[in-house]
Amino acid sequence: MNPHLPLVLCLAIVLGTVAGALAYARYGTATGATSMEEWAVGGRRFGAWIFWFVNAGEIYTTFAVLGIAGYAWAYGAPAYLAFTSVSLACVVGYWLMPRIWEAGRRYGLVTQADFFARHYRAPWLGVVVGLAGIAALIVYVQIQLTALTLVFRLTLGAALGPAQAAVLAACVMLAFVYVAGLRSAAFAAGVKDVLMIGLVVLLSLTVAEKVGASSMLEVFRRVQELHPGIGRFPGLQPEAGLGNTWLVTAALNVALGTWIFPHMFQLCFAARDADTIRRNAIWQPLYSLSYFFILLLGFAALLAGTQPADGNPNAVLLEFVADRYPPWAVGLMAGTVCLLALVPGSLLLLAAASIFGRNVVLPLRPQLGDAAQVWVARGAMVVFAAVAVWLTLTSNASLVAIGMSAYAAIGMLAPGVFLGFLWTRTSAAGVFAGLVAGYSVLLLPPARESLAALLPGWDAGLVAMIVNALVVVLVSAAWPASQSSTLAVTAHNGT
Amino acid sequence: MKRGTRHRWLLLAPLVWQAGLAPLVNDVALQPFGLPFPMAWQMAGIVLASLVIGIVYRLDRRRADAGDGE
Repeated sequence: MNPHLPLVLCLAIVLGTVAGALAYARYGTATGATSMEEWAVGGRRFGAWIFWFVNAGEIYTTFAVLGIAGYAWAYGAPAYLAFTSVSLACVVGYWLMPRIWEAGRRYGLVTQADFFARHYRAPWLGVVVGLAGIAALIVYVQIQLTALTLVFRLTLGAALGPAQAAVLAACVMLAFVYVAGLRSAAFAAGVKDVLMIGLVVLLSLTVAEKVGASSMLEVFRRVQELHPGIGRFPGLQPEAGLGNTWLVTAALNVALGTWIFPHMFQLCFAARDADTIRRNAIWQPLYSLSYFFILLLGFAALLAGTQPADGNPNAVLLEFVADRYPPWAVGLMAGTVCLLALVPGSLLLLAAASIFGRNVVLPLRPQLGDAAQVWVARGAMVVFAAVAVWLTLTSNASLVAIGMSAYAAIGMLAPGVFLGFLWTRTSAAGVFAGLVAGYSVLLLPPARESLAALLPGWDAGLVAMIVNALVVVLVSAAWPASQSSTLAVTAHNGT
Repeated sequence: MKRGTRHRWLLLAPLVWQAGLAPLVNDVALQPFGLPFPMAWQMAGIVLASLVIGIVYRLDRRRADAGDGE
C-alpha cells in the first residue's frame, strides 16, 4: 500500500474540484467577473439548485462536521445544538429572507452594509456595520482555517508546524477565491456536499463493527451504558455550563443570527426570486437530519477510546478515521474536509472583501471605479486572511465555542435588521446605540460578568443581543420621528 | 398582523418544539430506537419544521393565487 495514498487522494479531490469550478465559472460568465455585482452576488440569478447547494454549503461546514463530532465526544448532549441550528434558522429565514431579497433587488444592494446605509439613510452607519460584519466574518474564517490546519497536519505529517499549516491553509483559501468568486464556490459546494454525504454514509455503515457494536443504534445504546447522562443535558461535563438553559438560548441566538451574517445576506441577494428562497427553506431542515451520523461518529469515537493529540476535540473525527479506517478512507475524509473548509471560507472572505471595498473604502474615495473596487477587495482579503491566521494560532478553543463567538459578534447586527422590518420608527442612531451597548456587554468583563450572574447558563450572545435590542428601541422611541426610515413600510407591503 | 397572513404564526411551532419544550423532555427515560429521548425529540423537531414551513408555503401560494394582498 502506498503510504502517500491519503495525501494523493486529498490533493486529487481538491485540485479536481478547483478545475471543475473554474470551468463552471467560465461557462457561466464569458467575460469573467469584472463588476462587483457579478463577483459578489453572482449577477442575481441563482436558481433553485445552485441556491440550495450554496446554502447547504453554508450549513454543512467544518463547524458542523468536525465541531459537532468533537462536541458529542467531549460533552454529549450539547451537540444537539446542531439539530436546532438549521431548522430554526429556516423558520426565521422563511419570514426574513424574502424581505432582505426584496430590499436588495429594489435598491440594487450588494452587501449587508449597503442595506443598513440605504434602509436607515445613513452612509456612516453602513461603514460601522461593514466593519462589524467584517470582524464577525474573520472569526468565522478562523473556524475554517483551524479545520484546514488539522487536515494538513494529518495528511502531511506533524513535521508541518501549526503556524506553517495555518499559513498554507490561508494561501490555499485565497487562491481558491481569487479566481472567480461566488459561482465557482457554488460548484465546489455541490461537489463537497455529494462527497460529504457519500463519506458520512460510508463511515456510518461500517462504524458499528469498528467499535464492536452490532448496529448503528447499538452504538447509541452502548455509549449511554458506558456514560450514563451523556444523552441528556447537561451532558458529560456539567461544570461546563452547557445545560438546558444554554441549549435554548444558544439555539435562539443561532436562529436569529444565521441570516445576519454578511455572506448570508449576500447569498440572499444572489437568489433569482423570493420563491427560490422560500422553497429552499422547506427542504433545508430535512437535510440537517444528517447530523445524526455526525453524532453517531462522535459517540463511536468515544466508545473506541479515540484520544486526539492534546485532547483537542476538533481533531477527534479525523483521528478516529485515521485510527480505524483504511488509508483511502482517510484520504477521502481529508479531501472532503478541505472542501468543507475552503468553500465556506472562500465565501466568507469574499463577503468581507466586498464589504470593505464598497462600504468602507468607497465612501472615503468615491471616485473609485467598479473594477478598481474589485481590486481593492482582492487586496483586503489577504489582510483578513492574515488576521484569521493570527487568531487561529492564538486560540485553541473548540470549533463550536469559536462558532458561538462568531454568532455573538454577528448577533449585534440582528436588532437593526429585524427591527428595521418590524418597526418603522427604528432609527440609525438607535441601531448605533444598540451596537455600542451590545459590544460593551460582550467585551467588557464587568458588564459580562454581572449579566452572567443575573442570567446563569445563558448564551452570552443572546444576552448581548437582547440588551442591544432594548437600547435600539429606547433610543429610537426617543428620537424625532422624521429621522426614521420609510423603507420598512414598503418592504412590508412588498412580499 | 394583516389579514391573510395569520397562518404565518404557525412558524412559531418549531421554535416552541425545539427550544421551548426541550428542557421539559430532557429527563424522559424512554429511548425510541435506543436513542436518547432529547435527541429523538430534536430530530422530530426538524421534521416538524420542514412540514410547517411547507404548509405555510402552500397557504402563502394559495393566497397569492387568489390575488389577496401580497
